[in-house]
Amino acid sequence: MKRKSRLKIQKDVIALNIIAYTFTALIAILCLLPFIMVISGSFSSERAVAANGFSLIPQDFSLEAYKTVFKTPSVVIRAYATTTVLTVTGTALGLLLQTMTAFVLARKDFPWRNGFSFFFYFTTLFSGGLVPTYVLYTRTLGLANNYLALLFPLLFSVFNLLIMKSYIMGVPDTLFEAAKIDGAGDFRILFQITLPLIKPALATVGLFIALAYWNDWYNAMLYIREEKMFPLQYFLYKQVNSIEAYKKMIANNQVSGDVISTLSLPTQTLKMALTVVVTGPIILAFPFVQKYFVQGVTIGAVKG
Amino acid sequence: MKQHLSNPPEASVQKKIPSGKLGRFGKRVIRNKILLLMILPAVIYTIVFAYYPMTGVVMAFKKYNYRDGIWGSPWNGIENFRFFFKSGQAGTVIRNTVLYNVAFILVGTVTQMAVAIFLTEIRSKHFRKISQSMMFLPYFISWVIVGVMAFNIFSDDFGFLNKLLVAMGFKKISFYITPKAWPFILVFFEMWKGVGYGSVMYLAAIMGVDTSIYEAAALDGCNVFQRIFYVTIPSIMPTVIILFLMSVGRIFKGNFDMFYNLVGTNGNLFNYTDVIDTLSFRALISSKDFGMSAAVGLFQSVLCFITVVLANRLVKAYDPDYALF
Amino acid sequence: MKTNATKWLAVILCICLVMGLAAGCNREGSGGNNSSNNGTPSGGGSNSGSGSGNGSGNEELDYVELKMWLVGDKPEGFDDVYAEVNKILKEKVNATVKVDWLSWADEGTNYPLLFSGGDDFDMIFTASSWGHFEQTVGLGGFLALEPEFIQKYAPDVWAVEPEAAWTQATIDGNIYMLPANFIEVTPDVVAIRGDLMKKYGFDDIASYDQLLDFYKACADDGIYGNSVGSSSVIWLWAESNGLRYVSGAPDAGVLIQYYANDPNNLELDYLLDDPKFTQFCYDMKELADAGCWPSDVLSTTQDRQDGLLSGRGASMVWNHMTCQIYANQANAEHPDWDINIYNIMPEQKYAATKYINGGIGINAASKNPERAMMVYNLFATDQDIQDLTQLGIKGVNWEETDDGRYQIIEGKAYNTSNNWGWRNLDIMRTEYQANPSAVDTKVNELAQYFLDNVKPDHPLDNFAFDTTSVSTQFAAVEAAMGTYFDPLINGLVDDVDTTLAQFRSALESAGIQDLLTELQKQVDEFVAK
Repeated sequence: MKRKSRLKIQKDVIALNIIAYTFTALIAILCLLPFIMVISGSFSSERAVAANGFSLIPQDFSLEAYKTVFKTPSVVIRAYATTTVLTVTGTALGLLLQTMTAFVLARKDFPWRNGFSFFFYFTTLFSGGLVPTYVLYTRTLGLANNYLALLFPLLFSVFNLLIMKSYIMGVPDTLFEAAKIDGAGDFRILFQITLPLIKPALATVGLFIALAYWNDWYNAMLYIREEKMFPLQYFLYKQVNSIEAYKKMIANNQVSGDVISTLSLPTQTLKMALTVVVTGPIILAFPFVQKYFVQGVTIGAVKG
Repeated sequence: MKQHLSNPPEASVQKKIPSGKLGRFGKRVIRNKILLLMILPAVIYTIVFAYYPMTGVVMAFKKYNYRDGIWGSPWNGIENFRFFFKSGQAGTVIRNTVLYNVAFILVGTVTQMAVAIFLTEIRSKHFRKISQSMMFLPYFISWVIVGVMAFNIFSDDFGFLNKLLVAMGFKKISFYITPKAWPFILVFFEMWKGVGYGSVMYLAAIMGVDTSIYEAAALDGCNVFQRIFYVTIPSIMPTVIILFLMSVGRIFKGNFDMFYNLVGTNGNLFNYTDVIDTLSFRALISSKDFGMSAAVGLFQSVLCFITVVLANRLVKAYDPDYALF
Repeated sequence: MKTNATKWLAVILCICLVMGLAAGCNREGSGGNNSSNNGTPSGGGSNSGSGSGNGSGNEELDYVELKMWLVGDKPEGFDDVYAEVNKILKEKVNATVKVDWLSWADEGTNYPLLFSGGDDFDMIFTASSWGHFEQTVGLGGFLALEPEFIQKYAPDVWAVEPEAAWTQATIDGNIYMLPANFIEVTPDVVAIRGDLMKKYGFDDIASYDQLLDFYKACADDGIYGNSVGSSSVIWLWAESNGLRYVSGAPDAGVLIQYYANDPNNLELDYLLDDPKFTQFCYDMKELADAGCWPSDVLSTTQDRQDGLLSGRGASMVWNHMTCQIYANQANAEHPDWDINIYNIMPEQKYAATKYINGGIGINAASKNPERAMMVYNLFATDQDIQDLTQLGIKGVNWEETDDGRYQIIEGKAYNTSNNWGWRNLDIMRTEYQANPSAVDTKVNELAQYFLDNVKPDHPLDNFAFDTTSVSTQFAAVEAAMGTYFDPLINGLVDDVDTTLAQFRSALESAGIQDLLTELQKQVDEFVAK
């Protein structure tokens, strides 16, 4: 009897695995190929790319894009450092803030949880636009050219908050109640009981916050003027976009003369190189976070 | 109201505060003081960084000028909203925006959930990790580059697809003058770009499922497929619904970066690809009218607000715990 | 539950209201600060009132540091150059400038923010249309400059600047820009591969029709005549018909043009009512169908030169200076291509660029507008500052030749960036070329030819359409244009007549007639003056 059922389970496990492997592999390859194209593009010459488009193997191998990026290595290294420090600080603070808030909103015994959820969610629907935010940061708070202007905007995201809330709601209420009866305070329930149970959630939301900081160029564009303070993404964004925008200006006959040096700079391959430069460190760091949410759950089932 | 029934005010607590509405409220505040303290930083943050600048929406009703600022500029009634409807494209772009978002939500949710479920079922640890990492790569490729790559796939001369068609003896397809192909292309790229990021959310939700339920299911003789449909999916429903509701809250907002970089100013495709955000961008690119762009934004926000309140009410009727607010 | 939600909405609305009041007060406070500087200063009144502004007798001037924003990216060596500039400024008007840059990457966002955010600065680069001039004036960002004010604090600028420059810089009766005394004559020309011309039997290409024939010959041979399509060809078409865009008209002016070469013809040319434009659309359709450019040009990421340089296309359209750069580059890489520059409208007269294509605006909230004017006066008329900002430091970056021209010191060129706000043709130096190529020689000839054949003044040359009263229709027209215009002028439509009809009706419902009526009214008023 038992043997038979095991066999049956095995069969459908095999069926599922065939589907799962095929589907996952297909999507993974679809995701990988373009990235290979990006890497090979970054090592191609601008001219070859203009003539033949991008391909999976570098054409007319060239380092001109990387030479443009690393024209002044010290600036790039400083930008990397700025971004790293900002990402680490922001992720730590943001994760704390979001988990704490989500914990309250997920508590079924908190009487105003729906109200506060609405209070937070409402801000994702309506926005006053750029001007009032700019005035707030630069004039009211006086944060122009201040790292805080890069830290604050991404510290708290309602999207992450509500995701986190949904994860914490998966923790059985009975745990909270039992802890309460034992006389545990809310902070203890959060830090000693809830957090260890939601490690995958912490890893996920932490990853999202970290990525947001890592990829942010927009706030630097608005609030940071000192080249020394540029985070990596803005430094790179500025490099490629200023060349492009300038070329466009010339194309529209709006400016002329003194253009030779800009016109010969790469743009398409430069964009590819920038992607590689930005993504590299994340790919190296990714496995450390990944282990928290990429685990199998089949172990239990097979045992049965 | 349910709330009050399940948590009746504790009558035994001493009557320090006079009874009545305020008193009951006060007592609840005291009882929840630690939780309120925990939520306070986020509340302050939200008031300062979200509600305070939100007041800028009045710009939609103003004839803005630098000297008088947002509040001092003269009122302009609903004049700022008119251009959008006068353009003659309002119907098309609203339709496109909503349909694209519906397609994105459906296709995105299904692929992301499928990937997450499959990833947890796959035996090989290395395969799981490597394939999952690979799926994250598109997240780092900006829409600008996606646009460049799309051109490399679909263009006439060096388009990969056309090279393939020619090699197989077919005629070239001029994708950039074939509007009907674009809904598929756009949905594909959206799916492709979001699959890694989105599936992580479902992965984390699955990790949160109590493994003892799986064991129970296995003992009951469920096969894997039954287990997926009767255990895994229902367990991650709260996450699915929250994400769904949040997507619904953006249903009238088009992803400008995506549409602009993939389609650009190619008017031939606009009937199938123009969304509210790209239209208002084009309309205001030379005048850069602050009031008009605020008006379009407000119009979208109001429609989104109505939709999400309705959707939330439906979800609430189904199960109050799943609701967004 | 319903009451609960309503209650929370009420709470949120209350917060918004309170926030709004707070924001309002805040704004009012700063507004108060600004308003003291808002009026047009009619000279005098401030500490610098007694400064004569002609660069002498500056003992009584307090030292100020002025803040200037330039659009562009800071070039290498900039700090050294501006240290020299500031030495001169300090000595002559006891002031220095601190320059900040609005990068090309994001000036579109940040330029308006400087004004709406109330940043503290005195001077900013501006230019008609692409440099935010009309937009900023409309939003009240620039100080209105009374002629007496200019005469008093920037007398040398007033002396060298031609009347037309001030007319162009005037909006609603006030001058808002200090335009650079600089114009160029840069009609579009075509860089064409000589080897292909020979192959297809073209001795010369000297007319618009010949160019289209050349495109067709290329297509027959399997090479693109113009690999980025005809969005650039429409300007050639317009110029060869003596048309020029009405400044401020929709889609960078292309939709409504005027007969710029005929001063007596004050008619406006609304393209859709012009049979020549219909014919143009037919021609382009014929070319596109023949394969003169790929069908994906509307979404291409390629620039005009990419086709020429890579060999996909046989020609490119641009002004003679840009064509010169790329033609030289391509010839160096492929000597057999024998690219040269061709003027396809030799019988035409040529329009010069406007003076307001570059200038400096004074911030309406500037605390030192008088001193800013004095500094600008030196920037625009002092030979040393002109040389510094155009060429860098003498002896380091460039040498003066015997005849007063400049020669770049090999490998030491100062990559100047945005000195366009104060360029002054009267005192700018020209370059000495040691070894001109065939292309260089041709371009130099052309440049001289263009200068010798500048078109006569037309009453509408200095006119600019003020769209404030029809802003709704304007935005709607711009939105409607995107769908039809580019496909039409690139010949990428199934049927020209159908699309033209659709285009016309879309524009009608967007309110093109209101726009045309208002434009005609403004033109009549302008001409009457």
